[in-house]
Amino acid sequence: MIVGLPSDVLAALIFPGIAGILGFLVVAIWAERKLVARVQWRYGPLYVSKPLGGFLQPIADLIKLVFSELVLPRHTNRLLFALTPLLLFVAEAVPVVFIAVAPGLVIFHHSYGLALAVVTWLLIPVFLVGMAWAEADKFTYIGAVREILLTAAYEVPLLLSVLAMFILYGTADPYAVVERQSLWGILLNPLAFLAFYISLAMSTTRFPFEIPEAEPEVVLGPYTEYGSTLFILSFGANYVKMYAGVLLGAVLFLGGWSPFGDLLLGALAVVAKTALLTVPLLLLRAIYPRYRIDQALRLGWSKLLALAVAAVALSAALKAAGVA
Amino acid sequence: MIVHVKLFAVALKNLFEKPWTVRWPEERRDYGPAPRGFIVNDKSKCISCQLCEAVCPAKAIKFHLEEDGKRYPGIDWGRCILCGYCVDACPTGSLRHTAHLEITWDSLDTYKKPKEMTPGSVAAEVGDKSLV
Repeated sequence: MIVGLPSDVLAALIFPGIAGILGFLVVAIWAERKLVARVQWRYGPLYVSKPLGGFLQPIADLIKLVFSELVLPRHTNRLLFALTPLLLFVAEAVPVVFIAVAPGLVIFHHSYGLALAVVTWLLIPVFLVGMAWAEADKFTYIGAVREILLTAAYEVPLLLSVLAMFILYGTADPYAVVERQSLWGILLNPLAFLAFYISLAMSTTRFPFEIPEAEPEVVLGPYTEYGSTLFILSFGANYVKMYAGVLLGAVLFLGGWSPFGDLLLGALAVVAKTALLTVPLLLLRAIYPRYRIDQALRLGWSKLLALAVAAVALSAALKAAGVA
Repeated sequence: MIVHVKLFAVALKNLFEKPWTVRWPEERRDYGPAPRGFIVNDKSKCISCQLCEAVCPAKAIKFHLEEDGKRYPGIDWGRCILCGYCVDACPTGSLRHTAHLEITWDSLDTYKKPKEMTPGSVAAEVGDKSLV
């Protein structure tokens, strides 16, 4: 409607669609490197485009990676080897399809849209494991196993925390969820937010849970064998997953576009809230050491699960008390 | 729980502090008033006693004959560790440290030339504390 396009095409092309994903990739990678550097009293990327604070560095890296040699190992199933990163990248972007970022700005509207987003989000590790399998390498194999174990740790708390919010709002409709938030979800049910956020960090393998691609242990885990474009696709997929996750978080817990009813202002509000949710996730890299897989599993199946169950109980109680 | 809040607080505090990285060559580190820098030789004071050569732990100093018939020290800067033993050993005080610490050359051949030892030839091309 702004540039004469129907709003779903606009959503698919600009925000939260393709331009949003690519923009998030560039900005998040730059911001991560910059923030972590500043926490460690360094400058971070600087020499490419000094006046912009090295903002063009990720783009320079992308160009460099595109032009580096693409190696397809002979002992692998070469079709799957080349195809799975692409599948993974696209699959990571699927949850975005169901999330509304402004009134009318959703790629595909469904009355259970946000539930579908969570379900597609939780289906992704299958592609990652498939990718690791297709690479036929011991490090990718170990990485895949760790990914499966980690998925087992965060899956249930994530589902429960989102379920808590659905109970509270009584709907999974991407529009209705935002309209029902008279008070932001994070204030209504902080337990659910905490469980969701930790699960999100686990799901996107942010730092204390950066176990599948632990560099000193398994090179890059499931991404080990890839170079060039395939590396961008496979490794970028993780950031796409983060994008989908924080979008969902912004809509579920931070009231989405709530102060504004306008398309443009609403979208900008969601962008701001997405950034607000992303920055602590990026900072995690500078703050935490890495858990062992058993520690992460213990956390996932004890404290995190208890937190998520408590969140559901709190939601049920609030619903029964008629707060929401 | 409190531990995690503290961790985040430290990260946020660090985030707004100035980086410690020195962006050389745009920025220079301050080494204080008495750095053991590039060593020069005042030929008018040199008595060619070769004590500096004897004391050098890195065997960086070699003597060479010059046009005036005397032998003068020259330092192989690939070997010199800037320990300052030669300066301390020099009985007449003809050897001395300059403030120049960051010693780099355009070509590998320059660093062995004994002429580098004359005080006048040691001047910084950029800044005032290095020989770039």
